Amino acid sequence: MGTVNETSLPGVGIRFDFTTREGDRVVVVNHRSGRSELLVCSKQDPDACHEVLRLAKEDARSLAEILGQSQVTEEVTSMRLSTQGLTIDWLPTHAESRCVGRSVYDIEHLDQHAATIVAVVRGETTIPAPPSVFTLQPGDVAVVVGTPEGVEAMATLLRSV
Amino acid sequence: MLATTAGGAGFLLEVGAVLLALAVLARVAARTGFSPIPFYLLAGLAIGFFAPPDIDSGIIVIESQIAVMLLLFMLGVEYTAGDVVRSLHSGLGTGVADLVLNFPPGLLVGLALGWDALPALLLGGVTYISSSSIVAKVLDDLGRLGNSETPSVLSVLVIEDLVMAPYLPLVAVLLAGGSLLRGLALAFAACGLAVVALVTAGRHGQLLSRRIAHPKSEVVLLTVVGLLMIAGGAAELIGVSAAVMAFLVGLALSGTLAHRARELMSPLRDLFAAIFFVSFGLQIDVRSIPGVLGVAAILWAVTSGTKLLTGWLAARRVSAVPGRLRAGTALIARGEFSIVIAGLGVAAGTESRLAPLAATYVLLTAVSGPLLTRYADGLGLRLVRRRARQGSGAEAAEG
Repeated sequence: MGTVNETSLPGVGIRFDFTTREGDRVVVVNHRSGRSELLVCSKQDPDACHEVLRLAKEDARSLAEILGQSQVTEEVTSMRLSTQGLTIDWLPTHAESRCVGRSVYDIEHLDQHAATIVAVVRGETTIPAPPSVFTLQPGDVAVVVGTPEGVEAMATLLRSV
Repeated sequence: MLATTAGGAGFLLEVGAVLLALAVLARVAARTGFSPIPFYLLAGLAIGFFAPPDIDSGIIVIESQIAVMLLLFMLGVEYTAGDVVRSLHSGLGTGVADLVLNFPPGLLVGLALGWDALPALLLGGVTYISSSSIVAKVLDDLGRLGNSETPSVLSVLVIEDLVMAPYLPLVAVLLAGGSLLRGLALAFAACGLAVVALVTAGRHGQLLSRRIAHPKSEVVLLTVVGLLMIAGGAAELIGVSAAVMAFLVGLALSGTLAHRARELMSPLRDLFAAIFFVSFGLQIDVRSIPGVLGVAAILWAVTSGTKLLTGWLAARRVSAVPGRLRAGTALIARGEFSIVIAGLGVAAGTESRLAPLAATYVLLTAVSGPLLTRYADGLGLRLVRRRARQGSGAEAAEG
């Protein structure tokens, strides 16, 4: 995460600003009333910015949730470990994936090259070495071991509709 | 004309008609994007000229007192202790420059007109203090809250409002015929009280908030207004102005209570402040305005320049030239506090030209300030473009 500058706006609220990787200067003004504004600084005059969005409290919350979520999925995908030609990954099962309701045995045979499911994380519980008749439910996270290509193939299966 | 005794039919009809006229003006102000303050002043002047009402002056005194207390209280509520401390920390130098640049023009013009020192001192206050409400509104309307110069502009306003803490008790004592020494002692006492208010807000703010908090609005409203009046009265007893005390009480409130008080009391403030501005206009004889117009115009030109310089200095570290121009022009507008200060002089019956001069001056700056700062946007853009062209021209020449 880049540096976010925070400045108080007396009588108004707080102003945050940071520079994106693309070089745009983004400003967020959080009013005490709960309203917030998202602004982008002008390229010509970096001290001036124009409003992009004016958000009510609940809008800001929705936006934060959406942007925060993509970060969470990013974190999940970044759990992939690779050592000595072997890859381990934690792959979430998409709610509309064709793997939902199928057994581990069936899923592993949908694609010849797909990696092996060695464990399933369902909510708080982890099922290590699930039996071959064990069926996947939406939201299950499959722990997959195989070649990097095999893991990618399994990831595609668990995402595909 | 009907007899206008307090509570009588004539009184109600007159006040009602005035309020309705103000409602129309506030609507016009909202549509044109101007602050309603100059409109209210003009309404007062017009009513005073065409149909001077025969309202008991005692009512006006009480109304003005409450309006001024509410204006300052709401201002105090707007700022948190953190805002004040940070503003003092980062903007003290600019604050001193602001005072040195903008107080003397009023003071010197007053003295040059042959006034006593006291009304000249009030005129200095009139030219010194920018209008927090107009400036904040303009910054919001023009979408400048995210600009890099804006925190500096707001810090200047905070410091100006803080300066009122020692200034108002000082002039109040002098107006009441007290000695300069006593005035200075009370000004010092008010500064001490300000520190107490800030420490209270910082350390015990949550405790106070919890004690006063209640789901019923009327409980909170009555408690806060009651505390405000008691604190104001106590302050008047020791000679510190009630208005300053109201500001300090506002500062001392923090967190959810401050938020709640802001919501509950801003309609009250709007009502009393509108009547206050009108009644200030009412007390001015329109025929005295042409006589002060020239002086007001000179003051306007000089102090627009000095405010421009103040904003320039305030923003010099964080902004380039366009931002400094925006900051400087944003600060030109004078408004509510200039009228509060001039109102003190009127109530005490000092120099008769102070009120018409202050009203004309506020009208000029409150209208021209927002227009000039809008113009500064375009001017800044042109400067940036010209610089970009020159830059590319220089590069081409080098290549």
